[in-house]
Amino acid sequence: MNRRIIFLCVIVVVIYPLYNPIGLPIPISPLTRQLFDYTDALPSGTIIVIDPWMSTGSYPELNPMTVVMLNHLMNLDTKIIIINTHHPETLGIIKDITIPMLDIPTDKVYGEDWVFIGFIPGMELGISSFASNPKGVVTKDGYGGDLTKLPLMQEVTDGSDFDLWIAVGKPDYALRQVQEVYNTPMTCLAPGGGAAEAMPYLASGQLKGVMISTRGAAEYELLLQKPGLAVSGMDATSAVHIFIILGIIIGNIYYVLKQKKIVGNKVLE
Amino acid sequence: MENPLKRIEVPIFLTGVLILLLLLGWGTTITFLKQTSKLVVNSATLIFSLGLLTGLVSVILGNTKKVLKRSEDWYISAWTIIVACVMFILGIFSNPFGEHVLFTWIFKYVITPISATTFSILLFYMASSTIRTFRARNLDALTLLITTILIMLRQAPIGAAIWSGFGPIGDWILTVPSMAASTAVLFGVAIGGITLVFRLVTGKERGYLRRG
Repeated sequence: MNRRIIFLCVIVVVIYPLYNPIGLPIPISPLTRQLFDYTDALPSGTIIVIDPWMSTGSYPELNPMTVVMLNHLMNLDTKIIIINTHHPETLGIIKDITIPMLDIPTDKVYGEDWVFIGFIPGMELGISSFASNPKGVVTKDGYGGDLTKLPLMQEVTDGSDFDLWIAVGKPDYALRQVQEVYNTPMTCLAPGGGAAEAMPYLASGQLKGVMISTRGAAEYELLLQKPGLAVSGMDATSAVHIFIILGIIIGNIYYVLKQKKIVGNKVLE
Repeated sequence: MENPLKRIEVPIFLTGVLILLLLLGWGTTITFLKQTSKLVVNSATLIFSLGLLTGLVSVILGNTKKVLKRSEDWYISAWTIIVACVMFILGIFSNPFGEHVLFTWIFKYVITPISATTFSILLFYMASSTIRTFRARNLDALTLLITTILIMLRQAPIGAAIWSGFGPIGDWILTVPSMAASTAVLFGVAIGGITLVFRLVTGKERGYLRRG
């Protein structure tokens, strides 16, 4: 089959449900329920660090998960530190795209209830540096203010003061540098392709909960009763998945029939 | 006489010493070792950020050679140099947090949509290659095919609309066989990592150095 026909069909099955939503029900999976229940039960005053590993290419998948998790945390009595150890471009994504999308309650004060720390270079090294000395590795927050003067940062001296670390993307680095060293509980917002990497840590108890891809974000939005970006894309996801599945099934039926004709010819010879 | 600092034994020795300092600082309560280990990590963080600048210089030098030699598609290299220099200069003349209006505008409305689009193009190629080449030629391929379809029906809400059992089956695949295989891979990676550290400390692994 000419692949241009497949490309055209993909365009149609993605665009049509976006303009004409079908509104398929989205059942809540036990994995998402587990993460929601854990997060909802966090004690008052919990200090949470969230480290989104989003690039400009992966943010369409990871941003809905980050936004829904931050919206949930902002409506609890928790304190949030948003950091970025991934890439300089993630700084711009978090500052200009993610944070403006948040539904921050009016009683949440920047500096007291939540802080955005800019880019900490080094990836796993950056996580290790930040966990060992949060106020020493960078002195300015993501908006150019003095980090050391923010009330929330006065409460943390090292990783043992963090009550929860949320990894958005790969959980391995934070597991090695934070969970193992300071015994900090961790959860993970994993992309679809990285879900298999997170599952062993969930089974061992090192991760307390996992959200998988935009489907997990859609389920979380429904649990929060605030449908948003992730739910709106689920119909298009369903349409593309069904298109691919039908294409695979039809292709394999054609393949089997073609094989039988070849075998049939040999028998006749 | 050969410059002693150019001998290959120098970086090998430095690598071994730094790795040992990191290892000794981990899991110990001796303050000196812990502080030395932290110093090594913080220094590496600084070097990492300087590495970003090195990367920029490398990109500009590499593309400049192509432009000067008028290699194939040299104009793309020229455009790369122009874009890199413009963003670098805009970044220099903004405050350290990229508040320059044009810098932020280009990042938010040009770079981010282009990067997201580039990754989104993968959907078309994945759909095309999956439909045209995914065939059950043997038992392994058939197992992979069935598993793929079950996971896709688990991920999409339409799977639950067709039959409610697709969700639990997909969850079982994720939490049992897939988890078991991932755990095995993690063990392999961990053992490989230990072997690599041993080879780095003893100087047997020289892939990060110049030839030899």
